[in-house]
Amino acid sequence: MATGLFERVKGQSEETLRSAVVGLGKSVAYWHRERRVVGEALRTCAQAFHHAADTARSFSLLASLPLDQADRLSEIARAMDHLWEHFEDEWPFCTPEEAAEALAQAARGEAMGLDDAFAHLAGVDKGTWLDRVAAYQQARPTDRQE
Amino acid sequence: MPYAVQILPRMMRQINAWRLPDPVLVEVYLRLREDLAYFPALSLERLIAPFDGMAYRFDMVDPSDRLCRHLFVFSVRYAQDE
Repeated sequence: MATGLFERVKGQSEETLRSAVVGLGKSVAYWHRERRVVGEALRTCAQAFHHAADTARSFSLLASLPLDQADRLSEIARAMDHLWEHFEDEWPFCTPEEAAEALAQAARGEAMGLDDAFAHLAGVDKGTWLDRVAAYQQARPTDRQE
Repeated sequence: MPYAVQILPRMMRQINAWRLPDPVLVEVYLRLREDLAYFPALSLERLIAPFDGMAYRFDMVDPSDRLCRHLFVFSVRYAQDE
């Protein structure tokens, strides 16, 4: 695949390549900004619902009035929390800070071996996972897309 | 002799968040275990951004939905351990 990449850029002028690198840098900066803006919006929204639920409960206690919908506000707040967490986890580009943290994790020996990691991801023990892989390999499609 | 591929906690969280169907999860595992571990020089691409390092990229058609194509790009730190 690396060879394919070189084939695609081979013959391009230095100016074109420099322009492509600048364009890529701008795209990455754009997506980092998008992530920050959308992530902060989701987090702020979740905090607002948590705050609204707390305020409603406090008001209800102070005024000795029954409150029917505070739990609904808390549910929405928790849903927003999950949405924000998923957004953060699924964002495809890591920031320089996250890349640095990942390298620090590697240096601390926090990486997991492939078999154990995927067994954990599949929610099964390592033996069950390897059996599942072997069964898949028996029926593995031959027209693998590259 | 193959390289030992290891997964960092952040990558575990990300893969988990993708909620991949079983056959796709197994295929990702096999690509990492077979292609990346045995042929890193052929599999890896040099990246500048967003990660200054190497990347392992592949795509595959979802076996349970032929209209769905998954593209994976893993950031890779590539080193000798002995």
